[in-house]
Amino acid sequence: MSMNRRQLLAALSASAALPGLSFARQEALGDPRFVLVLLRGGADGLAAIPPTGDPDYARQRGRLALDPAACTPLDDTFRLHPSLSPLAGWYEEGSLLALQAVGLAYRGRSHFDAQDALENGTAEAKGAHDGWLNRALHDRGKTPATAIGVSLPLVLRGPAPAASVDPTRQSGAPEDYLDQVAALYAEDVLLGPALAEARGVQAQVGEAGTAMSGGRKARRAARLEAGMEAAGGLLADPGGPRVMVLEGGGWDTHARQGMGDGTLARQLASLAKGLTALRTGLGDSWQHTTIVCVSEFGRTVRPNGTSGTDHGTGGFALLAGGRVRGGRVVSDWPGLSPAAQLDGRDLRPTLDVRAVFKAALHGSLGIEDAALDRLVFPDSAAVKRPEGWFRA
Amino acid sequence: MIRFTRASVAGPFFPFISGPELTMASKRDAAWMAVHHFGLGARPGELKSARDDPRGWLAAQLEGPHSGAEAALSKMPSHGVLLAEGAKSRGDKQAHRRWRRGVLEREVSARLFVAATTRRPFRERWARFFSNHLCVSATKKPILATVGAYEREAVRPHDTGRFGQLVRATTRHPAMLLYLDNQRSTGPDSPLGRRKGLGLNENLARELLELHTLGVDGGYGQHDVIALAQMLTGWTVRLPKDGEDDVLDDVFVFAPRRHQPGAKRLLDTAYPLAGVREAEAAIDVLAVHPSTARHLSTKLARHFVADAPPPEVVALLERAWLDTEGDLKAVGTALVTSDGVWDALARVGPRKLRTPEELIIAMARSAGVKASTGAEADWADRMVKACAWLGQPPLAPPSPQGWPDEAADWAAPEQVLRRVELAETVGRRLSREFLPSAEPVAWAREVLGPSLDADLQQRVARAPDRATAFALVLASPAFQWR
Repeated sequence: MSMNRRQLLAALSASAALPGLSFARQEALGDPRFVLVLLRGGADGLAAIPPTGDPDYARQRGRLALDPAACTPLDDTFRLHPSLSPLAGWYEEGSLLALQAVGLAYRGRSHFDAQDALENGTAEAKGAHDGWLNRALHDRGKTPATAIGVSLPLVLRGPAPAASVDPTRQSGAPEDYLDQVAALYAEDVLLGPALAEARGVQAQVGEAGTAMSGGRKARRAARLEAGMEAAGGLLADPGGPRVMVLEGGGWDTHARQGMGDGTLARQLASLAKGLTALRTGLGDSWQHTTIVCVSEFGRTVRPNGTSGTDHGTGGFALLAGGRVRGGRVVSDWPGLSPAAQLDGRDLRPTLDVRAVFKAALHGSLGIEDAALDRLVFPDSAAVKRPEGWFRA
Repeated sequence: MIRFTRASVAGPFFPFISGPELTMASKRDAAWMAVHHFGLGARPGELKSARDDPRGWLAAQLEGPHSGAEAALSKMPSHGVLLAEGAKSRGDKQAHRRWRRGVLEREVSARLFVAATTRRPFRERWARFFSNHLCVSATKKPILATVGAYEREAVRPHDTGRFGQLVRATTRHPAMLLYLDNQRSTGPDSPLGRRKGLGLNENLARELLELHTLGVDGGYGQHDVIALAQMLTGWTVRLPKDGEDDVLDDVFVFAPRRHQPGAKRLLDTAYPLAGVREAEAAIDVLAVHPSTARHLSTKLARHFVADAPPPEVVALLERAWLDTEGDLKAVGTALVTSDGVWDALARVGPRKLRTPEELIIAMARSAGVKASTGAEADWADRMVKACAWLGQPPLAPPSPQGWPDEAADWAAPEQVLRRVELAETVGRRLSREFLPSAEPVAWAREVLGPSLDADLQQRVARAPDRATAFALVLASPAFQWR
């Protein structure tokens, strides 16, 4: 017999909300920060964490195969794309966990449906109308989860309060005009506080000088980078948000994706730069921070006719932060031989992406399995939470 | 003085707009509610046209087909013609992408123009409510070029008919069949299903029950979803190929070889094998089901009265729905003429935050936009872009649920800041081009009617320049809420 929604909510708030945790557990978690980075478009995991040690790698990847000598080795099988080398130090100190052959239970290759499934936390594109991160935060109080951007991504939609800010652009409106509007909003309990908060973020950004001169026209990758830089400061602020979502596009590399340089290399370099800036902004809060980077799917193993790759299935994910037990690549590696490929074209996924999210939510925010398996990721008890990815 | 706050309801906002004795002041307030709240925002002079009989002014808009300004839409090509046109460029990916993007831009600016100029703004809001309720979305690339045609062909012509008629039209429209993946859904025991081992796709059936009719708690189970999906097998499309001479306006086809044989059982009622008639009959039954009446009445009350729908308004609409078997004209008439609705509005006041799309439409109306060519067309394109910048790209809702309809969904801090910035940009544009000689306080009176309070009036009068005066009006709570 399954619990009804109300009972589930009660169970969740009892077991997972911080006040319900034992003192020792709370102590261990500290004041946790959780950052989700969505790489939209299907990022090529075989380029980000190339399996150069796989006997089929060079032949199958063909002209997109990276030169192993240019990539930092991670273990016997995997290396790091040259553009991600700023993260090699994280890996070495053990705060970066790389995951390979990660995928959705959804097996179509539509961006639209795959992103919906990734964000709604079910096995299907239409499995839920709200997002897993919102459901995970139900009843946790404090400051709302915050997305960088104008509107809320699906993953943050739902019953729990959530907000969005855009610290990557500088408002063009004159201050005296904004002051007048703020006065008009003095008694408006919705618009008033919202405008005040946005202006506060603007002021913070203005001081830090992180707003980009290019504004809206800036490259998409650069926008994500700037967003991460600003997010670090917001998360470090004692009164700031504790859960943030960032998203960036430009990963749909159907043509001329390049190898050590080119489109994809620039995307990855920007991601590494953004993550580095995020960590800098976090300062000491890094110790209590967990960052998850994922994309809706990976790309085809073999290059297509236009020196790019098409929509695939298995991809990669990164888990980073002060309490992550990293310094390793976790993968039940299926291999790249033609027989091992899914449908004779894609990396076969061997780890459900929800397992990654479960480990991250449990390790970072202390959310218990009962809630993870039923409410946060409905009907997902079969997707076990991996153990040992976080320091106690 | 009217104050726009969301939490405090100290007393009635419009004590006079209901009741038998209509005074001058009460008529003025009711006219303003008709134009500003039920309509799409006042065009200069519009308040006067509604003043004599605000309820009658609204109810009359439900008579007859869409007309007048809507002519712009009736001239646009059918989905069949559009798909045939698209087939020509399908070989060249770049060209095809450019083409469909162009179609969407034309559709979006045409409907913005209609909304900005129509003299029947309540009817336009009414049609858009159902378009959003039964939405398709340009986020799905294969239907990007036909989402506009969908609204023109399936929604607008049926927005005052029976709800069953409307839902039959939307369900069979190729954009909907493709959006919710019904085109290849095949009965496992049908000739094609047996030969090729094909099966059902439940997507359309599930959304029909969950979103379009009964509602998520409407009392159906997984077996009902499967039964409806079986009835819908064979509802598909015949996409035109390049070089075909015969261009059909409508590419819907019923493919008997995909249709699941045998009787079906939906909501404990047996439906004998009847091909395309099965799902049509089922939709007619679903459309008048008490759960559907409740679901739609609640959504209507949320859209037309308040985010927290007053139970007495829901009950009143439900009764109209059930009494008339889902006659949308009757339901709409009950909405705009019932004392219960006006009483509720008088009590809660303007409590709906304009969505970004409603906001840009109201801005265009306040400017008195007239022509769909030249500088005004260019401006319309900018407004469409602004709408996307505010988080609501027209005709591209994020999911089959459509755009959300509560203030909290549209008031994230960044969004509010952008609203205020847009008001500033538009204010400058109005002062330069559209209203170069308007007297700002007089214009504010036209646009905000009785909700122009003393504080705002003073700020407008004292603004350093005309652009700032306009901007303050457009950013004000009175303008942002309806």
